[in-house]
Amino acid sequence: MEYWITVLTFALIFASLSVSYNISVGYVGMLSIAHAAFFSVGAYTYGYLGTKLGGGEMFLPAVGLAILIALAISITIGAIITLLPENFVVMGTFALQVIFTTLLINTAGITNGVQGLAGIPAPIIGPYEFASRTQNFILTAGLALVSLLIAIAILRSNIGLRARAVREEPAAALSLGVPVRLIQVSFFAVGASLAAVAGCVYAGVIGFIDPSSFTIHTSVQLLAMVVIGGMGNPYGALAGGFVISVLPALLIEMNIGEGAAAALQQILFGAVMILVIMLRPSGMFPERKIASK
Amino acid sequence: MTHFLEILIQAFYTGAEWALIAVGFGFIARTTNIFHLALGALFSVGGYSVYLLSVRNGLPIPLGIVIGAVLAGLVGSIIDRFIYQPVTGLYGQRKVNHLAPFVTSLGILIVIQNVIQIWFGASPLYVQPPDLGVTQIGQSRVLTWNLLKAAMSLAACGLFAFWLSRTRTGASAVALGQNAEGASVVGVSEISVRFQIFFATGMLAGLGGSLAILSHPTLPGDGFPIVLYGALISLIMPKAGIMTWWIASVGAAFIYAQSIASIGGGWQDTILQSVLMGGIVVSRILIPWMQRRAKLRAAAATLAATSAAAKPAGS
Repeated sequence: MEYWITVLTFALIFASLSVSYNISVGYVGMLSIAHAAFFSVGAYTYGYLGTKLGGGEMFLPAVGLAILIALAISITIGAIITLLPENFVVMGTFALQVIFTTLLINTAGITNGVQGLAGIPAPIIGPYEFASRTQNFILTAGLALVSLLIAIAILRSNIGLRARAVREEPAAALSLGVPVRLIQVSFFAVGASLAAVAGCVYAGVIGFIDPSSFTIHTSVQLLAMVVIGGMGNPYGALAGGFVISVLPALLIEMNIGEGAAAALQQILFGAVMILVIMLRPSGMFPERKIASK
Repeated sequence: MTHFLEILIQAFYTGAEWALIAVGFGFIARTTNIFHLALGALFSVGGYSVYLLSVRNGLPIPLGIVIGAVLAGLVGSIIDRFIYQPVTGLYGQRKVNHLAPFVTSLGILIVIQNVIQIWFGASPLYVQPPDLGVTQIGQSRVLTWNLLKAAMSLAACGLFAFWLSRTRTGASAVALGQNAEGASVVGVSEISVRFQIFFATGMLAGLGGSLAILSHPTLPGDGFPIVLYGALISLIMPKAGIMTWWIASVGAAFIYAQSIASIGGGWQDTILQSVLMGGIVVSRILIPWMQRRAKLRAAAATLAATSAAAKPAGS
């Protein structure tokens, strides 16, 4: 039972990440492969503050600082890459992800390099300490709920409607006075900030972080979650994230060796990504069409 | 001077591997608008085929290289026919989200690399190259095999460029890249042309993988970073010629080798990616902006000259 609570806890973290990733990829069509980089910003901010400067009380200040750092990076990078043709955005963020992973490995003074940061304290929010498995589950469920509510609120707002216009017909949207670049950069930044928050929670729950958790493979896994779940639909992204995160645990339960399980899992991700794009491009839970009035 | 020469020679044979991917990626992106990341998997298909045929089954290495390249080419054509074409449609008739071909390409890369990993294991594999001795260049001693490797890469890219410039397929491929619907009107068969160009670029990637596994231990996932380098190199100059991409790959490998030599291992990826991204920003943002500005200035100057010339006539 405890094992499955842990599995579900991490599934909820990745489901929240998938929801935040969907804000830039699904809502506004800006395919970034650097989401794991923003996830690492949050994880390392709390990891550093929690281990070096204080205990679990540093959780909320770390969340605030992580959001600020993620905003600064995403707005700077977003402002540059949105000037490039749409296909080039992917390659730009690919490069950003690789650069970030190398930075995590090489700035050992802050990140402790490949050895990672150990002994990260359990988060404390006000009078509550989230130390046990059940408490961690509650914390991550709260994170998933908040991420989902923010995503739904954005989607249903006027700016969500404009974002869809930017995704579908950027030129037409621009001709109608929609600030295309501003919307693209804003959505990229909101997604990045939510990923940073998820990173703080992840570091607090797992207690140990190293660069291997934030590589390009994590970003690709997030892409698989959103594509399979349904781009543009927050519930789809949540479901995709949840299902794909639980999958490895199921493969291990089926007594498939750990190494082979990891490779099989990747094959499954890749194959399902291809099949979904070919047969059901809108994913398991397609985005709702806007009803014309 | 010796140190510089050593790094240059190293860049020459490392860049030769990258160039085989960069050329294929750049050409496919130009003609079909697909970012063919699966070339990274074809790189592994070529390399591991040489291992399978030459080490496990005792075939001569040259034959292993040829079969590996042909196999990678065939896989490339199959990927296009059965995955890309249904997703993108033909003759530019089917409008698709630009993310779709990219996601499928990434999916193919992941599937093929992991199938190879399950088949051959996750440990790096190496095939001993033929012993061709050592060549003295200035004060540097280089394995002759490495020079042969660079020459093979150069020859393969040269043949590809020759094929494109001297055959009807090459002209048709360029026409498809410029105007797919127009090309279909004048009788270009997109299916046939795409089969050939995906086969040729797959062969180049497969050859790259073969040369890599004959030079250093190779992992099934090694094609991923190389296709990323190749992509960025070709996207800096998307309209450049095949041989320009080849030289740019050697240039990128030089930056990579120089970073290791001067700063130490660990930072080379960051430095190279930053330089390549900087190159893309300059070529796709800064230069077009400067060109637009120059055009506007020229137009303003013409307008001013015209109105100045018109004034005395009117007054």
